Parts: sequence; C-alpha cells; structure tokens
Amino acid sequence: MGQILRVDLGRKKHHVEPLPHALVRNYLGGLGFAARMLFDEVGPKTDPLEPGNELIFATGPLTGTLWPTSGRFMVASKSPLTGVWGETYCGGFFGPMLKYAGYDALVIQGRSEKPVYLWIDDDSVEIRPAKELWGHGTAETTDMIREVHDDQGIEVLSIGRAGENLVRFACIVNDFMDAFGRTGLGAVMGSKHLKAIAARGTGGVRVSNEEEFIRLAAEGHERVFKEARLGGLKDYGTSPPLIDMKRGVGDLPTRNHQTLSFEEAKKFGCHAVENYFMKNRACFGCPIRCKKIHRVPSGRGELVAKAPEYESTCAFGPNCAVDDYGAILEANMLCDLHGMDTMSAGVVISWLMECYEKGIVTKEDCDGLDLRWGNSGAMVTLVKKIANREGIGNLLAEGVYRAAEKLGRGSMKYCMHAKRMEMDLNDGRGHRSLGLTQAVSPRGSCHMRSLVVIDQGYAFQKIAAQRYGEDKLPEICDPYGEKYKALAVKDCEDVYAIRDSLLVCWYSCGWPPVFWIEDFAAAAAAATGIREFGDVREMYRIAERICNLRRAFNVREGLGPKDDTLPDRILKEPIPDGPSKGQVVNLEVMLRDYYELRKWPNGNLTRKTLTEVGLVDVADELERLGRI
Amino acid sequence: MEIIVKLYGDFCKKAGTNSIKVTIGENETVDTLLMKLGRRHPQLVETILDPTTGELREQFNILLNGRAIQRLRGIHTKLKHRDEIAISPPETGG
Repeated sequence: MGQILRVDLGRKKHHVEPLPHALVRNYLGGLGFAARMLFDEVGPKTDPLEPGNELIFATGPLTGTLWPTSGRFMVASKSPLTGVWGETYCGGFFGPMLKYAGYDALVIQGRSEKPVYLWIDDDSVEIRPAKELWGHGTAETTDMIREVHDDQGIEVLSIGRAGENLVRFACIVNDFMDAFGRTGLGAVMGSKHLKAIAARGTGGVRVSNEEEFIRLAAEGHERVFKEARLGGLKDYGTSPPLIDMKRGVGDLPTRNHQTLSFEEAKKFGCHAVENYFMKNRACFGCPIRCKKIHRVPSGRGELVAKAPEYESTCAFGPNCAVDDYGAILEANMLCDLHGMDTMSAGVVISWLMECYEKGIVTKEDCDGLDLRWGNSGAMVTLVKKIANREGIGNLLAEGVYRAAEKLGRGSMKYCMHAKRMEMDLNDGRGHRSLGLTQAVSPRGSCHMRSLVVIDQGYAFQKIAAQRYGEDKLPEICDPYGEKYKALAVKDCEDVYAIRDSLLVCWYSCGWPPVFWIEDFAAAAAAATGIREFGDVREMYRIAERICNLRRAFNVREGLGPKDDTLPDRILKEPIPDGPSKGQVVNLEVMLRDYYELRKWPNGNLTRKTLTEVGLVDVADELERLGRI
Repeated sequence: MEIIVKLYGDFCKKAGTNSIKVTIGENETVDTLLMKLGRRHPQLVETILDPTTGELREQFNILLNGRAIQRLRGIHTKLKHRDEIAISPPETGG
C-alpha cells in the first residue's frame, strides 16, 4: 500500500500517512486523488495565494513502472490565475523519483516565513533554508541543489523569478526544461516561500500481477514503435509536424486569433528545423522521445536551447506574427529559466500587441517598446519584464483577464481567455470540437482535457466509425460542424481523466490511439491487483466521478454554466481568409448536447447526478452552501 | 495543365522539397496526379496510397485549394489549371 507525504511549511513539520484504500478504489490515482483531496481540504473562502491553499503533487499506479510513457505526474491546487480548479502535468523524471522514495502523493500546506526548499531523501524529509537559492533561475537552482547534495542524479522541481514575484501564470520547472506549465501553480509555490523540492528515491515500484503487467507493457512498447503517427514526433518533436499540418488545414492561431493562416510558419516546419537539430531528449520510460534540442543562429549569436512544443511555438510565433525562430526559441528558454508558462506569456503579449495595433496603448504606455506585430525583440523583452514585474510587465503578470480589467479602454474585447486562463493555441473555428473542449475545461481554456482529433483535418473517418458508429459519419469528422461533437468531447474527457489518473502521456493515447480505455483498464488491474479496474465500465464510472468532482469544485467557487463560454471573437468574428474562411463557432448547440450527456440540466449539477457517480457527500456540501 | 503540390511534415523529407509543380492533362483527377507524382517520388506516393486497392490510406490530409478531397470526390476529384494540392501526414494534437 502506498503513502502520502504531508509537509506543513508554517509549522515546519511533516508526517507520512497510508494511502486510504477507498481513495485508490474510487479515484484510481493522480488526478483522481488530487480532485478528492483538494475538494476536501481547500474550501471556497481560501485565496489561492494564502497559506490555506495546498499544492497536491500526485503520481498514478503506472508512474515509474515499465509502462511506456509513464514518466508523468501532476499537481493540483486552487489557481491564482483563474481562482478555481487548477491542475497541471509534467514529464521528466521527478514523478518516478518521488515514487521510488516511497510516496504516491506529496501535499504541501501552510507558508514558511523565510525561503526554504524541501529535501526528500527516501524516508528522510527536511525543510532546509533557501536564502542562497532565492532570486536564481530554475536551472541555477537545480545545479546548486545537486551540488549541495553532491549528487547529479537528484531530481529537482523549482520556481524561478516569476514564481517568486507571484506572476499569476508562473510555472514549476523540473530538470531545466520540463514544466508544470499551466494555471500558475509556480506562484502558489512562491507564495509559500518554497523555492524548490528535491528528491532522491532508491526504492522501486512493485506491481501486483508482475507477469501480466510485464506482458502488457512489452506489448505496449511494441505498439508505440509501430504507430506511424509517432514517427513525426520521434524525428522532429511535437511542434514542426503540427505547425505543418495546422498550416495546411488552416488552424493556426495568428495575431491574437485574428485569423488562422500564417504562411511564414513554414520557417519552423519540419523542412526548416532539420537544419537546427542537435540532440534528442526523452522522459522516463518513453520510447517516443519527442523532445529536441536545437541550435539556431540568431542576430544575437548562436542559441542552443530546448525546441519549443507546438503550443509555445504558436504562442510566440504566429500569434504574435513573429517569424524569427531564434526569437521563439529564446522566449521559450527565458520562460523555462524564469519559470513561466509559455502559452499564457505568448497570449498576454499578443493581446498587448493587438491593443497597440488598435491604439488602446501607446509606445509610452509600453515602456517605449514598439509593439507592432512581428517585433520579435520587443516580444523577448516583454518576457523578461513580466518575470520581473517590471514596467508594463507588471500589468501583464496579472494574466490577460486581470490585465484587461485593469487597463480598461475597451481592451477586454481582445482578451482571449476562458474562465480567465489564456487560450491555448487552438481555435474552434478551424477545429470545431476544440471550441467545446475549451469552453467546458474545468481549469480554463485548455485543449488537453478533452482534445478530439477526429475532426482535425479529415483523416480519421475509419477510426471514428469504429468508436462512435458509421451513422455519425461524416458529421463527426467535419472540422466545421457542431453535430456529434459533444459525444466525442465527453468520451475523450472521460478517457483522459483515466489517462491523467494512471498517469501516462497524451501522446500515447491521442488519435489514432495507441492506447485507449480498454488498455488502461487492463494495465490498472495488473498494476494494482484491484480486479474491478479491469472492467471498462468501472473505468468510465471513475472517470465520470472525477469529472463531476472537478465541476463541483468550481461550482462551490461560484462558477456555473455562464462560465462555459468563449471570447466573442471565436463566437462572432468569421475567419477572414484561408481554408477556414467564414467560420465561427456555434457553441450553444454543442453545449446543449454536452450537458445532456453529462446529465447536467442546462449546465447545472444536480443531487441525482452526483449521487449516481458516488458523490453524495459532495451533493450535501453544495446543497448546504446553496450551490445546487 | 499545371498543378502545384505542397508537401508538409515528413513528406518534405521524402520528396526532398516542399513544393512540386506537376503537369497533367485537361480534366484529369487527383489519382492521375498522384500516379504522375509517384514516378518522380515513389516513396511519397507509396505512403499515401494503398498498393493493393489504389485507394487513399486512412489518416492523411489531402486538401484541394484548402478543402479536403475526402469531402469532395476523394481521389476521383477533378482538377483545374493552377489548382493547389496540399498533402500532410497524420499528425494530431495541439
């Protein structure tokens, strides 16, 4: 049986408690654990940056095992960016290391008076002073901690200047360049004066049915190797193939989503980046190795850095109309070093660039920067200013919603967000199901919670028919239609709740899926020995419980159906050019279908639905607060 | 008539370029274009078409002037002078 490590920074104490069987049986792991614990332990009156907020790091039953792509782990908290449910995921090696130290979850409570870092060395847990680390970037912090403990194999999670300065989209960085990117949980760490968490684990993970698990894992690795779609990821990483594909089908957010076509993006497509390739990187247990290091000549000399993911490339590239790959690489690297979400940073900068274009802000308002579209130097400068909350950067550090509220002058019209989180670099006008995905995501605009790709391009009709039925074709694969999209979004949201609880990478279960819920059920049963997990229906029941619980967390915070929406630009402004010309999102139609499938009448949770998914106590709590 | 074929992702590597001009006869269709393209770049076309049926394999995006040919008449869609065909591999995600 596993363990939970609880650390109270205010009281300078820690204790270990056994993982309750009921938590495992009802919530599986990772996301499921965090959803239950955060609902129980962080109430609606707690400000995200106050000591009462918690950071719940969780691994899953597959973390650190032989299962392919099992290096991931997650953290949940109340988000300082959105004020509601915050969850974020990271690859790398820290998750397996935490598990090898003996812990399935780590809960950080309270606030230290002075900067500290947490040192977990198997059974030994220490809260150590971090005065010397405070003010340093994430890479330096990692190096310094490894040096202090004289062990280069230690895994480190660290915040940078952005987290220290409570930038509302600060992130937490593992091993120099893997990040818990979204929802600003680096600021929660900063508010607790927790500079870093370091771990060394010398144990292992024992699965229940070893023979069966090894058979399934070996078969899984074979399937990953054979999947043609993963070839592009292996050769180029996530960004260049997606940039090419999305450029081809007209689905590339450009100039703050003014359009979806940016011809210059060919400068960072597969053909172009081949010249920059330097080496591969991979997360724990991953045969895909989608991470790349690029060497790029730029006006400021040669730059060697992590190649950005698609979302980061698009945020700093097309969405700011920047075609200088060196500048994109530099902005991405600075975000890692300062500990800041690349997506939110790119989107808040593109918002300011549009405000500049429309005359809402002047050069003087922006510290003398010429913020014309495509000014890559100004973009890189703004990244630094945000991390240090310097000048105009102090406004942007609040996130796009709060920045627009503070600035006023009609700037909210250009604010691309959902539930106050900056939009991911996707657009429902070029990929219709994405509109619904972004609108209903519990953490604010996010493609990863229920990304459906059968309507991304036209290439997945056969697999769509197998899963949802011939009768749903061709509509379910139409990038420009609303019909049947709720069915696919709801299904993906459920399956991905299991993915995020087990915990494995999206790229092992994106479409066409290498693994889907049947595979997850078999692996979960073999790993835990809990026979019921082998039943796909039980997996769906657990998934629905988790999805309802996240929704309940937000309902308790005061959110409701009115918040399941998108910016007016997506709903009302037709795309002006390219393959998606003329498209807008008819969200109401998809929402109606989605609420019906979720059994949320008009988007409202009910006692009946919560009871059906095993959340009677949650229904009691919401009723007591007058929320249902 | 002249057709412009634009290649994305891994296809650029297979063909060694990202844009190819192909000349075909009046009223010819996408399959004729692909056959002609296959003479110059056999590796490319073998990836796209099933060798036994000659039909388009699943999971590839072929756009004719920005519209998917699967939504038109598939590989039997007729082409016009200066049409643009975009071919991209089965990438997904965000």
